[in-house]
Amino acid sequence: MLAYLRIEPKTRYNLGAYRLYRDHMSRIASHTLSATALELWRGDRCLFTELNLTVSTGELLQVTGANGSGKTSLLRVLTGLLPPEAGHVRWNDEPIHRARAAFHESMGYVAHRDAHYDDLTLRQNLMWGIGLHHDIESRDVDSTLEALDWCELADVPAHALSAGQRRRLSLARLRASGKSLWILDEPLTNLDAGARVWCEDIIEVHLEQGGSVIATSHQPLCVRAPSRREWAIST
Amino acid sequence: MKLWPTMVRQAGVEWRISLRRFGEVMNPLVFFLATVSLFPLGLSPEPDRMAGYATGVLWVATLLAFLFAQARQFRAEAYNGVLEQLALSPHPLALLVVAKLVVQWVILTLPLLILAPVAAYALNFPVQGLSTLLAALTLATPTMLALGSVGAALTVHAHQGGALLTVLVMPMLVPVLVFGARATDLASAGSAPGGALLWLAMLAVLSVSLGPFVIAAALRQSLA
Repeated sequence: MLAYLRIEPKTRYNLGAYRLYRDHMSRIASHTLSATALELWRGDRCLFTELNLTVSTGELLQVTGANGSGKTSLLRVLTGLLPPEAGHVRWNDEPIHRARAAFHESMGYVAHRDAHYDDLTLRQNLMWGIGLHHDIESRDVDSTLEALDWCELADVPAHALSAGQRRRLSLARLRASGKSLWILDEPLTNLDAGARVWCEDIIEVHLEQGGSVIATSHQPLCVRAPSRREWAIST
Repeated sequence: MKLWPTMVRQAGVEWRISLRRFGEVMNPLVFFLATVSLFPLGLSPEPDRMAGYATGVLWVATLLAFLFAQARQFRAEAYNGVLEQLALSPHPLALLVVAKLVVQWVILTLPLLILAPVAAYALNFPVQGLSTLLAALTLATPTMLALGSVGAALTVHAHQGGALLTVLVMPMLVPVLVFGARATDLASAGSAPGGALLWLAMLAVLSVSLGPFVIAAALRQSLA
């Protein structure tokens, strides 16, 4: 826990004034994701049973647990990709399978796999990825690239990026998609020290503006959150 | 949230990727031409006998080329996580799939419609049946693509997906083959092929309207 308490004030990275992001944040509504009595099996192994959790506006929930304990599976259940054996996930008191479009409009997921088209350039990837979730114009992509300080990489194909850069691109895409709930699977993986601070900063700003975050992480997340909880999956 | 621009953008992405991998995309058509040109060597190069089996060869070659083209459908997307993001978009997955398939259909079918008359000419196929052949191919290919994609979506995580795909999809494509070959035969013999063409059109309407929803359901299942 000590690692979360940074003594020196953090120097904020240039987060850029995303038009999209600000617009969205000015009208972010309070929201709640709640899971009740979740149960999930993989093969003949029970990953969790009777699992209850709630995340609402401004909250950070960090899920910890050993490799293979089911953190990613839990996140996939919460996104609605993986149906649980028992229990419900509710978005604002509505089961997510019934309010799928509304839920997915407000929830963004950065998975272990980056979801970039290798053959497309960064600009085309962002255009596609943000556009899946949000009405978009090309200047939104420009401002995202500017905020990453990657204007010179705009026309580089995604396969030329390093693993850490791909991860940053996914996070930047999520940020520009204007979601209120972020579900992050190991967001700090492959990031260098500077990018790690950048990632923590965007999470912090997101929480300050009324968003919520569920993240799995082996490294401690140095984030000041209005409300943060840690939840360990036991094997 | 506007659906239409998203579909157009998805189609654009598909188009760019196909152009980037032009050789790979054209492979099924090379396969089509190779199959068609090998039959006369194996059976008989006599013009009269060629005209007898031309219809069957053209249809079987088309069917195999389409199956061949679909063997790796959705694999890359499933592997790099793009499929997850598509499934998590607020837009219906079925309509994003439609955007993808429309582009694939154009990229596969237009060259096929240009190559088919050449192949038909090489097989001594009667000229009076040519327009019907092209019409029947235009009507049959959407069904082949939709049903092939259903199979590909179901087998996207199977290790031996290619073989499984053939076994799954082949029986479903039999009606397309039967009616397509029948229409072409009738037209080349000088009779009216209307009935068989209407059957092909009906199959196309069915598979194009319902297929995307089945594909989307199968893809969501594959992500679970």
